[in-house]
Amino acid sequence: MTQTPEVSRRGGDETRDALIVVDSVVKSYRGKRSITHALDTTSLEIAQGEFVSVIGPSGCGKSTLLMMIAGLIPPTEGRIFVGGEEVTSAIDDVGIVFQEDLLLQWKSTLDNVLMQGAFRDISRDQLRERAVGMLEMVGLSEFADSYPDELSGGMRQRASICRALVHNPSVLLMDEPFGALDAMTRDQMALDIQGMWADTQSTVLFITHSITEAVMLSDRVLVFGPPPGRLVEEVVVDLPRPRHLSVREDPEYAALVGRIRTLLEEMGVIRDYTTAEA
Amino acid sequence: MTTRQPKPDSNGVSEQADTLSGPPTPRPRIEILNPKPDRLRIVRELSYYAIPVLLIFAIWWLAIEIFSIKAYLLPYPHDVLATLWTERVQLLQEGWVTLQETLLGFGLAVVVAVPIAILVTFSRIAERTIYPLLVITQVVPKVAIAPLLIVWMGFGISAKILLAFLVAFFAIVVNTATGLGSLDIKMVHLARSMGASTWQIFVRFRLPNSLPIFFAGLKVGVTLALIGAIVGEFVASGQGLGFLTVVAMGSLKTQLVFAAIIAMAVVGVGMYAAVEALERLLIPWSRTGARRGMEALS
Repeated sequence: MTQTPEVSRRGGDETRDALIVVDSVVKSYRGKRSITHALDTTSLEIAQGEFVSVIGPSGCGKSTLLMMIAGLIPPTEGRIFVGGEEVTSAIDDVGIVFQEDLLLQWKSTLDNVLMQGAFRDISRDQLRERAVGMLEMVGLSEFADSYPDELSGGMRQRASICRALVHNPSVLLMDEPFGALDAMTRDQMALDIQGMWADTQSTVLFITHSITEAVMLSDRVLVFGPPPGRLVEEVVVDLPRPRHLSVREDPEYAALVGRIRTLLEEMGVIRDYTTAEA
Repeated sequence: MTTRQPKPDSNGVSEQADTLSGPPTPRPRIEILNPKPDRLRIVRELSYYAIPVLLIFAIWWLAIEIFSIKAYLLPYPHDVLATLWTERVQLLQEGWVTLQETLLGFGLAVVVAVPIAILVTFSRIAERTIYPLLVITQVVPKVAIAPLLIVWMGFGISAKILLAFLVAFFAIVVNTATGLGSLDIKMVHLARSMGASTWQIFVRFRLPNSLPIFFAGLKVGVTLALIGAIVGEFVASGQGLGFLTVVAMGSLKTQLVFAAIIAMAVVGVGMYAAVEALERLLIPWSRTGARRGMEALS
């Protein structure tokens, strides 16, 4: 691993402790007549406080990897460690954002965010204070008492990101969180994510189909190959933080995007619809 | 408070530099309106029923005039209304019996259906063994087994309750099971990552999530239960609106038959409205209107 983010906001160095360790993990599903290999032998490490994106074609096992790190499905082979402990069941020092906002329709926006603490041993008042603060930050204060039905898609997804971060988890896992949103909302969300991440110490695994988003947000981009997926290459993004949307005009940024796009083209997997701007 | 104004863009100077610390770039301007409480709602909803009813009465009346239909075949609407008034005591008495049968049968159906639906949701073996049985009981015409039930249970109220139960049961089981199974698997994953146990996931997520579909089942079930009770009364009974219809038909009191049918409709609509009111009370969040409006805006 050649992790040298000199100007990175985290200012990390190579000796940073790996928070997430994926060790020779394989995932396959046994059907009646065949075995489907979702993820081929994959090993990787993600350091404390690092923002790592995973990009690759559909069906390359990205989501499977995320679910295994969260302890929600077991790996077929290999082991996963989070914070030094082997993951054997669902971990709870984690926030997860899926493509669907998954807000509970029968609860207000604020109560949806507070749901994160419903089963945890957390002080109610402290949690509420944080939740209100986060909703404020993403411009949802006025909608704290509204039902999800009354919010637009982007607003709902913002609320679900607040829910994922309100308990200040060590790990934030996001599975194509902007997948259902339009391009301009996506830009705003990318800025929001960056802002919220800056306020936490969370280690982020961000799964996306968008090369530009991956480069804009990440310290490192992991490029996965076609199914059965495996890690093909990792690209270190050494751009100064905080990054603005204007970073897209930066030649270094464009070079990184181009490199990843070339990698995906070489694998014959151009499924990405946002690469045109690169 | 009727409207909320969006904040002015006070951070317009250097939006990009502000994204990390200050308030983010402008939001979509969407205002949430809190409409005034609708006091006339009941009047309005009744008028939704009244308009088609009046239309039917008009066509009914015209048909008699145009085709010169005899009164023992089709009486005038106003004669039927008059009968409704003169026979009100009997109609209320018989209607009360039918209402009791229907409600008891419906209540029994709910009490039995919900645990079975839960069982079916959580156990694949239960699903595979219970569902075929349910389908079989559903496809057998209840009219065919009604005489059997009468023979076994007598002319009293219990055979009708059982029929109402049998007719309503299936719709409630199927809808409840569908509702309980409709929770997104990703929601389950999310709940688990929040530290929720299987029981907590059931109570806090799966159960409330199932309510809209559950209520759809209740609405179908309650109208079906009325049909079951009436079928039972038709086959053999000494009371109830079904019985009244049979007796009135036997003596060619067509006006009374019509009056009894109207009474049945009133019982059915009343129960349906009660379930709907309960739904509105328990799940005020299940409104599709707000979402539709929001999609139009965004």
